[in-house]
Amino acid sequence: MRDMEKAVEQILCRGLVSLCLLLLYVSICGVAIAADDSVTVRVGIYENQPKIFTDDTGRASGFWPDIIEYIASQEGWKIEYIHGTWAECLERLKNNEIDIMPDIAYTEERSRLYDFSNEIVYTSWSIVYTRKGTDIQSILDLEGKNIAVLKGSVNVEGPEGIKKLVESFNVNCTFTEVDSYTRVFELAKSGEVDAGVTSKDFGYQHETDFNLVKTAIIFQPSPLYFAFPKNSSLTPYLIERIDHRMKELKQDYDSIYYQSLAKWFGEKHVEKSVIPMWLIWTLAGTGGIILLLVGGSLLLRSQVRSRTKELTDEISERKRAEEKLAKYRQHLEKLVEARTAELAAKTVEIEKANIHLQEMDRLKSVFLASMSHELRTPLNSIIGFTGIMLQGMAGGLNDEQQKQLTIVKSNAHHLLNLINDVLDISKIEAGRVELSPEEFKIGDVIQDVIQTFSHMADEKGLRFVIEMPEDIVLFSDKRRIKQVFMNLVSNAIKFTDHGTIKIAARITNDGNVEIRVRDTGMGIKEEDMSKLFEPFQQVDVSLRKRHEGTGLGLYLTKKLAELLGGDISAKSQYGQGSEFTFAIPLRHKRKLNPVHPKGAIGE
Amino acid sequence: MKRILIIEDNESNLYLTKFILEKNGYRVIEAREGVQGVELAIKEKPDLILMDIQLPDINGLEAVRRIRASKIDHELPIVALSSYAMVGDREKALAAGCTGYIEKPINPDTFMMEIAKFL
Repeated sequence: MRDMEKAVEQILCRGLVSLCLLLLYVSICGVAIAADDSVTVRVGIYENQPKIFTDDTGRASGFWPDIIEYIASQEGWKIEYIHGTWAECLERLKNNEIDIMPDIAYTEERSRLYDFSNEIVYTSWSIVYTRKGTDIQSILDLEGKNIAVLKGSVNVEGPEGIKKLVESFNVNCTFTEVDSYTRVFELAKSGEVDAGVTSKDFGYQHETDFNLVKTAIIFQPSPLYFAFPKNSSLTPYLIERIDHRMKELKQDYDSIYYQSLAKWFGEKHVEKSVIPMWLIWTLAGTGGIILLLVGGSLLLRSQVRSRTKELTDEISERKRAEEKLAKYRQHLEKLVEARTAELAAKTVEIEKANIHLQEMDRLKSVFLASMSHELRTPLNSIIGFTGIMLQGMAGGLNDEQQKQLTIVKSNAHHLLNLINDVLDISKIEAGRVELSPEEFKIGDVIQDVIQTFSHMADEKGLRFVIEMPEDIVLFSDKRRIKQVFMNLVSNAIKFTDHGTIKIAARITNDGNVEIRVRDTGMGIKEEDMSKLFEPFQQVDVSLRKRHEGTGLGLYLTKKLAELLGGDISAKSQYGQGSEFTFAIPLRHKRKLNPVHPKGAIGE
Repeated sequence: MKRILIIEDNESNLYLTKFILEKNGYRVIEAREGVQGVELAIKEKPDLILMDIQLPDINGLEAVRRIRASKIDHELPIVALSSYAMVGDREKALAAGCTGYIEKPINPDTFMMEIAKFL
């Protein structure tokens, strides 16, 4: 049965010729070495804990030494360990400086340089390790990264090694080649490299010590063998014996082989020696495929996990953002509510204030009406008696008395004008002026006003010029327009000593009537223009002229113009003259709610 | 000689009006209160009444209404002589039964001319 298995295995794996050669070697060398009882085999050793390494006491230790030392003890060999780096070991193996090199993965290229035992001793694979917190998850993440690798290792240079792997993914990265896996991990830990490649066995053992983590990059499942120098006469013998012993070891579950596997890798080896070799090979192959699949699956799972994590993160991020938004919205709503309430309170306040103001305004009007009455009553006597005395009704007056009483009369009239203007303004401001619109010709008003002032103008030698292409029919309050007009003309005469007073009237494009009064008088200074229409702001006039006005004329005029739905403006060049423009709508629009005058005459 | 009843509570103004009227050849009857004015109007039947509006007892408008409600001549001219100058004052006076309205302060130069219109 065993012979048959063997035969099948040989046919499958190495062929019949190999078997014959092997048997030949065994018969020759076996006898020869058996004769010499003290065969010394030089075994290469490098540092790759837990597979093979030098322990603290300087002794060779690990899985491979366990196996080779057991075989040596069974075969009666003496072992001489030759320490070196991985690369040194391979070089020595090539040069026949060592007899056995453990822990070598089979490749085509290597098979040209060394001979291999037939029994798989151990199966391993490689893993890319990185520091915690790096973003390296998959092969694509290695783009632009620097990776530490074991120099000359099959997981670096082999057909399934990391270099070929990244190349096949079109990933560009650099490699730092070092002498041991320990160095690989040191560099990865210190951050000198972004990642490092080790065997799974080294990685599992040391990842926690170096604070490193596995990535999903798992590759190159490789069966490991003993290798031998090609040009050594000892090689066929060693291969035969080692294969023989390995078979034995694998068949016995209690053997040192399984003990060592458990000891160093903490796992039961999958290979079972009761299973025929061809099956083992098949299983190994299948295992390799499974490993690849598992690796790929792990890679995929890891990618899925990482993507899932990304998505979960994104979802929770979004949730947080939404919560934040909701909070902001609530806050905003509260703010709006608060502001609305404030506004409502303000509105009530304003309404109250408005009512208060209206009441104040009413009181002011009543007060002014009373004042007007109270002022007029004594003024009636002053003006009246002055008048009759000047008429000589009370007897003849001498010149001085005549002159002085004339001054009294003039001042009394000035006072009366003042009272009238104040009353007018207060009435307009209180909205108590009722306009009486009617149709009339503006030409008539102009003629009226000129007539009124012709005497004054003649006295000063001033000439009136009227510029009106056509007469304009207005629908407005004639009396008020005349009042405005008279004010403007009287001002023009007052402040003009020589020249002309031009009065122009026309219909503008926007349907207004524009009346302009232009004089060649003293003009108004630039800085006085702004206060021209303010009350009691008589500008740069002599005392004599100041005396003649109430200081309310233009203010009242502007109020009247506005009341009529128009406006009044002025332009002037100091020393050259002034021009006042008064514009009102051609047809007056009645106010919807005219304020009826509250009688000052009580009943 | 035409008789004019002056109803006026202010001494100065009463004196002023009376002086002007007498100087111009009229006889003046004086009243310083509304009710007294109404009584004198009915009793004396003057040719014209000059009525102040603001009076201590009843106001001028009320006095005018009472005179108009009496049996005396409905054509009797009553002229309001008032310091009120608010819009509508004239209208109110006319509505109460006044024939005319003269605003105070009076203009001594034109006063007699205005009075003459109503006689």
